[in-house]
Amino acid sequence: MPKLIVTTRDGATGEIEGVAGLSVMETLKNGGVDELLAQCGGCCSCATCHVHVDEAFFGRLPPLSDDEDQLLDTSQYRAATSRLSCQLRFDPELDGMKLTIPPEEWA
Amino acid sequence: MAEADPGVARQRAEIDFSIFNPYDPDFVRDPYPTWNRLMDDYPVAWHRDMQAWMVTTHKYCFEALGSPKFSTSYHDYKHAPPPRPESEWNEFDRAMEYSFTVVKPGEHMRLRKLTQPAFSRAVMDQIEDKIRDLIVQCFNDIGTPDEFNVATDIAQRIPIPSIARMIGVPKEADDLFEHGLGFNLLRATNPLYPHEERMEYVRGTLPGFRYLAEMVAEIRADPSKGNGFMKTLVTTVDETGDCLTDWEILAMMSALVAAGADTVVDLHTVIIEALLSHPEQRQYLRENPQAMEMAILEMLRWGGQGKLGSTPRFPIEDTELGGQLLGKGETIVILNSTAWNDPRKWPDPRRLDFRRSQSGNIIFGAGPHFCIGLNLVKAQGKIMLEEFEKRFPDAELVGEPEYDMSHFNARRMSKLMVRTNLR
Repeated sequence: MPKLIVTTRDGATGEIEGVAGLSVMETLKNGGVDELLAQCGGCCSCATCHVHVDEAFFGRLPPLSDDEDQLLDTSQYRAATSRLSCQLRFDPELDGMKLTIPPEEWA
Repeated sequence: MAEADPGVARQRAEIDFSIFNPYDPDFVRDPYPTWNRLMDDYPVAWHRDMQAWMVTTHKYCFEALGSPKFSTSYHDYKHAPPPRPESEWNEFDRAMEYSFTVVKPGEHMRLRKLTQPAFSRAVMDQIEDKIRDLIVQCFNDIGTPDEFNVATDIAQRIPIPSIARMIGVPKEADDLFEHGLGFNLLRATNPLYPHEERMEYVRGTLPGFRYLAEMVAEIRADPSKGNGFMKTLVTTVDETGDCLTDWEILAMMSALVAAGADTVVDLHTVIIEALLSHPEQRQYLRENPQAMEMAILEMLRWGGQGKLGSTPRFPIEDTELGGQLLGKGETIVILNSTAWNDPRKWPDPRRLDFRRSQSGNIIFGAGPHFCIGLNLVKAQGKIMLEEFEKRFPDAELVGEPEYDMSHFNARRMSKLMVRTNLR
């Protein structure tokens, strides 16, 4: 099964099976990554599904929309490979994509 | 955000009631010409009569909502009275000190993290049955009249009892929340009210706080006495062993009550007005029920029920926004409803379109204070609308809505008549 490789805030790394058609955010939430708040439920309104994508996959992702770009600007931990996981649809081509959950905002 | 530029102050934009009067009945009935004028000519401007900055447009509302330089804490208001010693605090004071809007940003994130599990989809799904029973009963009480008033018979009857059911408070305490805690809380924390009037509202909250404090203490002693939501709040422990204190829970519950007593009332009238005035969208939703969540967002966007913004903000230092220099401690009113109708963000904003992408919307706010209760709101709206359509599939609007002109913060409909066409 295609999978995502996720590193959570405590540094632990694990694999989560991906389901084609679900967003990466939904995949992570279903896989038990509770620290990904995803408050707005996936409609690109809150920036709490922020992930850092490994460089090997970043270039393959669809481009950022203006909304996503603007929301990422509100994050303390925006990096060159930051994305909002609700804006990424999982498909088998993303098998093995590594994601890191950024530190907690304003902690 | 750009560094404050002293030169910006020389270009200060000022308005007054002649340009924007939220209490003008003509504005309440038809706010769009005023909003468009503000967005075009005065996107960020000092309102001389209201002694507050008015922020409009999607761009600047979004920027203000997400900025760490704009505090929600009443203590950062330049004219706030000096804090009273803790020994003199009443329950209102204590709950406010622990509330999401008053604590410092790092503490705010801690509270959000510990509170979020109680607002998760999983917990809301558990509560949905209780809310459904309440809504079904509401419609049973309406019965099969020729006409009825959505504002009094639905909108004012569902929100507070929904929150009470969510918290696990019995029906006999509903009035204590709605007319005690909710009504008074909103006004007690709004700096646009004179100080003495605010103190009256503070006193009005105390019985409700005392009731909730006893309930939280009981559930803390025996979590089995709490329902899913309360039990989750009381028992959530993070990886460091941190959990919410009783007062933090009380503060969060009071925020829920305040939000539920006000904005959610408008949810019900707005979505029925939107749906019934757009038959083609209504038909689309019937054919595509999976679109309900996005449709609710679009109806809220279109409805624009805010008269003023939500929680005021106060700059923690002089800050530039939209070419204006907002002074430390001054009151900022973020006019969210303008953002929802900004043509720079929403093409043809007065067109209701359930197929429209809701990406980037700020209907539930933005940034760290994003509405934590949105799953409850969406559940309430969805269940209500489904029940309405099931019982009154041929209902149509009768006449124009009427508004409660005395409401301080919302274009609150007091009358939205529908004809059921059941006979």
